[in-house]
Amino acid sequence: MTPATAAFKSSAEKALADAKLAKALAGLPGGLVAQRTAAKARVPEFEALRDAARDIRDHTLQHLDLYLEAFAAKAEAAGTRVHWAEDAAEARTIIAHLAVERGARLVAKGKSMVSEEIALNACLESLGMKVFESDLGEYLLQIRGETPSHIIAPAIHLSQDEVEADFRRVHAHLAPERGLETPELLVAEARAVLRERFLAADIGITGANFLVAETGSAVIVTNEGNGDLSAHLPRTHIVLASIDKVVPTLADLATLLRVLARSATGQDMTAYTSLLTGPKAPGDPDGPAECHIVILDNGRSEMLRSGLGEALRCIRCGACLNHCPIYNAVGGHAYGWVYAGPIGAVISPAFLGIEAARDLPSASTFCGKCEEVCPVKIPLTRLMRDWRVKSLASAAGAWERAGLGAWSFFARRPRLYHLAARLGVGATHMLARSRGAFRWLPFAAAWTRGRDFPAPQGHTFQALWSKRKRGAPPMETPR
Amino acid sequence: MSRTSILARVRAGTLRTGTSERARKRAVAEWMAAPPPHPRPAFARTEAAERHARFKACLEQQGTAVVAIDSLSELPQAITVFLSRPFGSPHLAIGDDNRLSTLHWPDGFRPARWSPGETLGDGTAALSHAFAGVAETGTLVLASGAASPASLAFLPETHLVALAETDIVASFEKAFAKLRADVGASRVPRAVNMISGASRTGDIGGKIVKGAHGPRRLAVFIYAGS
Amino acid sequence: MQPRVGLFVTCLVDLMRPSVGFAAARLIEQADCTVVVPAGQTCCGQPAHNAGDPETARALALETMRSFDGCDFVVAPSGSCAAMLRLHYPALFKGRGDAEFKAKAFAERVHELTSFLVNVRRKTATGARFEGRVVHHDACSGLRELGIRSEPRQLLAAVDGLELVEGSETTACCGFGGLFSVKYPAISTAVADRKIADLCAPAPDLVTGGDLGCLMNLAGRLNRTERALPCRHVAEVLAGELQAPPIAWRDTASP
Repeated sequence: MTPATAAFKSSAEKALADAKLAKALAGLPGGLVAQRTAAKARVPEFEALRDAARDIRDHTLQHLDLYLEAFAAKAEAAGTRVHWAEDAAEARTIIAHLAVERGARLVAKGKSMVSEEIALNACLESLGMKVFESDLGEYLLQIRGETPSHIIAPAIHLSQDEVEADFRRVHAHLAPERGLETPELLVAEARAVLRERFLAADIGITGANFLVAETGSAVIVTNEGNGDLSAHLPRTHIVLASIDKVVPTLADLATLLRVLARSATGQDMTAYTSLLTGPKAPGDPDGPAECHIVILDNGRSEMLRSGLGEALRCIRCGACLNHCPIYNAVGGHAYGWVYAGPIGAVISPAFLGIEAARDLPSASTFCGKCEEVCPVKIPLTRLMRDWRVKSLASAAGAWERAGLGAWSFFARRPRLYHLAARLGVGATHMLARSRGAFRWLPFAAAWTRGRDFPAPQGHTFQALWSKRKRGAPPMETPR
Repeated sequence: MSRTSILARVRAGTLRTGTSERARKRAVAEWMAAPPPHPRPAFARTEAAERHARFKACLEQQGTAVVAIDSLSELPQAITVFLSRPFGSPHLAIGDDNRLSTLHWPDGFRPARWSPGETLGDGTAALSHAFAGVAETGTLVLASGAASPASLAFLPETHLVALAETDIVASFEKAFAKLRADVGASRVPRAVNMISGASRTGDIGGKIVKGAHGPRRLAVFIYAGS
Repeated sequence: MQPRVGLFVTCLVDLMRPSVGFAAARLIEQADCTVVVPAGQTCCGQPAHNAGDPETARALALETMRSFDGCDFVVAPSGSCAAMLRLHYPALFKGRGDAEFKAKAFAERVHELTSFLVNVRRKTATGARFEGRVVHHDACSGLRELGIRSEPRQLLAAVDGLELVEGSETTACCGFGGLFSVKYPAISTAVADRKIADLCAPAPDLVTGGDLGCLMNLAGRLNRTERALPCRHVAEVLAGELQAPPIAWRDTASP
């Protein structure tokens, strides 16, 4: 996925004009948001669980190198081949090599944000392999050539009609007169089509929600079961996971599971939470003959060093997206890359550079809803503000620095400030004549594009107050 | 070597002044041996009757069918009744599980041992014996192996699970502890599938539809007695 | 001895709507306090802080704290300014020795207006009158950073003749976000529209809020979408200071 984060503003404006997208996003408050609220209400201990989840993640991150070593040792003892990739290119090379070495033609993919991050599909396809996304939402996007717009519900922006049209177009081998009017019929068709592919796939590539150091296992959390089919049926299973996925023990996993699904979809648990450890053991009738894990850094060790460690607590639930007023207004594509919403605003600049992604942490009202719902209490607004410091200091921040400099010149000099304020306010008030608001105001065009600007009352409070204190009769508050 | 440089960079990133390498290693060893106790919600600490009741209630909430029987020997009869309802099929696949194969199955309804390559897409139902049930969320724990191939949980349209009432535990932690105790501390089964309902998706128009890739229908037969 | 309360006017009230300042002063005086308005205050520094300029924010913080020396309390008719003073000042000076200590001591004296009246002065009513249905908008910082939610509602509910109504998305942002409103105006108005739809749902006669920035945003957008729903700062209603027309009100005759 070529990053388009620099086009955030124009992408956002396009998104705002997209009525279909608006309709899809309008379902969030009554849907995922309400479901999370209900799930939380069923767990009186939820806040304590959030604290515990945060502590588990912090402890792990503080000792991440040791836990990675422990995980790798256990995984290898279970027969898994562990590979290490410093960056996206290396991860692609490793996986491509494994696939080519095994003469793979068809690859089944479970949902994996990290695979989007490294642009894996395009790489494998360029080598002549066919890759199919097995998560239904991702499959819907794949056949449209689109990218995910949400971490948990990647195709949230699509309507049922669009899906029907796509199926008729792409599943050309099926009877044209077949009925596809209901979601049930569409899902049944997808199930049948994708089942054939699962059975024919040579390699299954999945992500992992967690890597458990205690047992050397990868944990895959889905509702569909597609991750499991991708992991079980093909001869070779490759797990692609970033370094921050490690969890020390199964007991820690239990706590994280308690907050994950509830935060993401409001379910107490998803239909399938699978702990996968190694290839087929002697006596196992099924399972992959080979199991590989590719552990990816791609800038996360740098995030640890540069003050973004708290962002690595993320367990990819999507709650921050669901509750963010900006995400609710513009959807995921406007963010221009793999990670959208508040978490995207915090980590995209780390991957892509603040120069390319400066709008993302900037386009926030700091309403704080994201932090309120984050199951691991990531201080998202503080991290966004930290990015703004870097952004302001960069070359692109020159105008803003100048503006702020001018303003602060006055703000730090009370007498000058109050004088300038009195003059400015008085003049603006006169400009309004007796109108209560401006439809347009010079220097405030950005405001008045969509809103009226209130007419100031005419005098500053400081001026009126000091007049009052000096014994003059109280001034009638002017219009 | 990527492994070395990644670990070195991570170590550098996590370094805090005053923490020795020895202290870090000790912290990890201690945590791995016994993590600090995490808060366990009340609903994950149920006992006896309340535990069973919670388990069943959660299953029902998921839309999973729950059938209570007195003993495992009643399973064949209960299954024939269940499968004769709409969407049922007379074909039943099981793993290499003596507990199930030696039950008295009615004529013409002997379950067949599944072999790899069978896709179970023809309406065959599959039957597994669960390792445990977790009451906190109505979750079935299946441990893969010859007796219970993981494929049985994902390939068919209908998945039937037998579960001993005595194997219903209160929490995930208890289930993991049981796993360690039964299987041994050295290695967990290749796949431990924690199943909380039939396969489902909400990806089309936001409506929840079952049978996205895995089974469309899940039924649990809980038997009292050992 | 009556407590000496320094009124932190807030730059928006100072420049745009002094009547809110007078309303706040009256409420504080009615709560048996002496009100002073230090002339050295200009701005709490939020615009600089949120724009990514902590140096300027710190400079303004020092000026502000110095101005309010000698006040027992610092009260602001704004949740976001109060949060800036109470939470972000100490954070800005973290690890900076004596300044951190001073900031913490200062922060403890800071209160948002309704929180001051209810939690510190134990007021349960302000003796005002208002006939009509009022919906109150919670500013995000006041709500999530300071936990202010029940205080304005308690005081509004005690206003004679006032019927307090609620939307269903009461914790949703209005889209102001300070400079966000002019940096990303299209998104800002979209967010405002959603909030406005929610505020209008219970058919209110008046919108109140604890933060003038939010109210300017909402009132301005209500105008532009041709909806005649007046907006006032909650202090105006609680103090019975209703002579001035509502925010951005276009009719020449006051409602």
